[in-house]
Amino acid sequence: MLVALVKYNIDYYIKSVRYLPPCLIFVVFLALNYQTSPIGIWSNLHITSLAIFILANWLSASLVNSEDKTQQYITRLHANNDTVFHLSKPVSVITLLIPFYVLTLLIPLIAGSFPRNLHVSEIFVYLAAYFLIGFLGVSVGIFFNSNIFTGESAIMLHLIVTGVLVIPFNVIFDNILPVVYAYYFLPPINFTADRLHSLGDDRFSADWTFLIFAVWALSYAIMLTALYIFVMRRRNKE
Amino acid sequence: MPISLKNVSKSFAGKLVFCNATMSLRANRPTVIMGRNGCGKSTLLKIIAGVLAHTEGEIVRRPGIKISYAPDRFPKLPFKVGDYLLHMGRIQGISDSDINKYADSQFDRFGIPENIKQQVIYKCSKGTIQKVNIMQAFLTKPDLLVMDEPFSGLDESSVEELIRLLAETSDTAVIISCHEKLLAQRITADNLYVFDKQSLVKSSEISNRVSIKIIPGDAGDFFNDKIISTDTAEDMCEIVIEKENLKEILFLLLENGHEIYSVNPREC
Repeated sequence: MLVALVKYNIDYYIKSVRYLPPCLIFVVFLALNYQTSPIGIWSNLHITSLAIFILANWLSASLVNSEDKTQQYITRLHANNDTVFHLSKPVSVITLLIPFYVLTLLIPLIAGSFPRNLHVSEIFVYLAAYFLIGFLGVSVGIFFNSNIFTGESAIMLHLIVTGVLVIPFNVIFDNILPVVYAYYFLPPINFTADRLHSLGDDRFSADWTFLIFAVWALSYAIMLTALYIFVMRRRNKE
Repeated sequence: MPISLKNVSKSFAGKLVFCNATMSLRANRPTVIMGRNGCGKSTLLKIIAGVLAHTEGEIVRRPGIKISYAPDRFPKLPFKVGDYLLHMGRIQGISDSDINKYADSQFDRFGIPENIKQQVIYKCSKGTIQKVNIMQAFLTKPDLLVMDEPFSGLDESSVEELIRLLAETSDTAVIISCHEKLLAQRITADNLYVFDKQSLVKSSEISNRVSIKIIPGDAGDFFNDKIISTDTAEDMCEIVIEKENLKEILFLLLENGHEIYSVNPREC
């Protein structure tokens, strides 16, 4: 049933053409970033991973609201399982994001932008990191569209939070301890992106810190998604 | 019994839509709800379908109940008719071949040309959209079928087909809202409900009610226990009572200085 719901959500979303603005902006950004940025491939990968977060965030916010409300009633009753129905929304966005992860890595690989050959395990690590950042973006996007926050102020709050998560305030204000500590309670977007950057010219070898960041990011995304499903199950009946 | 309601009420932002809706829905006994526009029929049907919460009262649903819902205004979706039915069927776990077989039979039944399958829903006529709405509701055999104004937009032959289709759903509890009394009576002889002054009553009970319009617009509270509902306007008040209390209440009203403007039987 989940697969059928995901196919239906993606088909509906693609027909709504709401995907066009975020996807076009992302592709244009990607092209510009890899072509013109003088900061080197490793930093570029850091920046593109933040762009993936914004793309995932934007796509999930628009996909959650793309289905007509009356049709939502019909779909929910056909599914006969509210948890699976709501879970299908983030899973649909995660599925939609897969080509973008591949594209983000494929462009510099084809263009020969890496100073050395990447090992298969490193490609896997990059894809896994993109997946984690994408999943975090999806979870933040759906969380702010779960009716916990309503009205125009919710959109503003969503934008502010997205900005706070993307801009590394903990690095900019590293002398203000509360800011640094507060970052440990927020979704670890920059920390996960940092791991990509830190690979640098040295060959990647799996260490505990990478694993800890991966588990942290995954747990955070799962927690926000579960919260979204919980809230939607309650709110949809009001 | 798939579902039963006891004293169910619904309010939106503190404003009462309806109160004290009590009914049990059973297979082989279709239920029809009638009432003027905006009285709460669609809201009640959404509550019964389980897509909207009630404010007060108790609803008991059989665990694992399968519900189908046909809304009064089916959305103008960007899907082709055939693709939409495939999606809805797949979500229910039906195989593509079974969905296509079902769609073909329903297209024949409602006299829809085959090429409509390839037409996008938002480009279809009002009648065809309503038929798609009905088709999606009948994709599988539900335990409870909730249909909001299903006859709206249908031509005469399609209305007959739908009545036949409803008669075939013997193991399903059916609840329908309908505007036309004659159609409602064809679907059910004894299970017809009417919204009267924000409360749901059986049509047989409503014929025992009388409406009295009085001036000035305040009935007072000296016979509250016998009033079913009051509706106060600026200079006039309408009260609904049981026919058997008419004599006594008219006497009390006149005795308390009210002017009787009209006395009328309540109707469906």
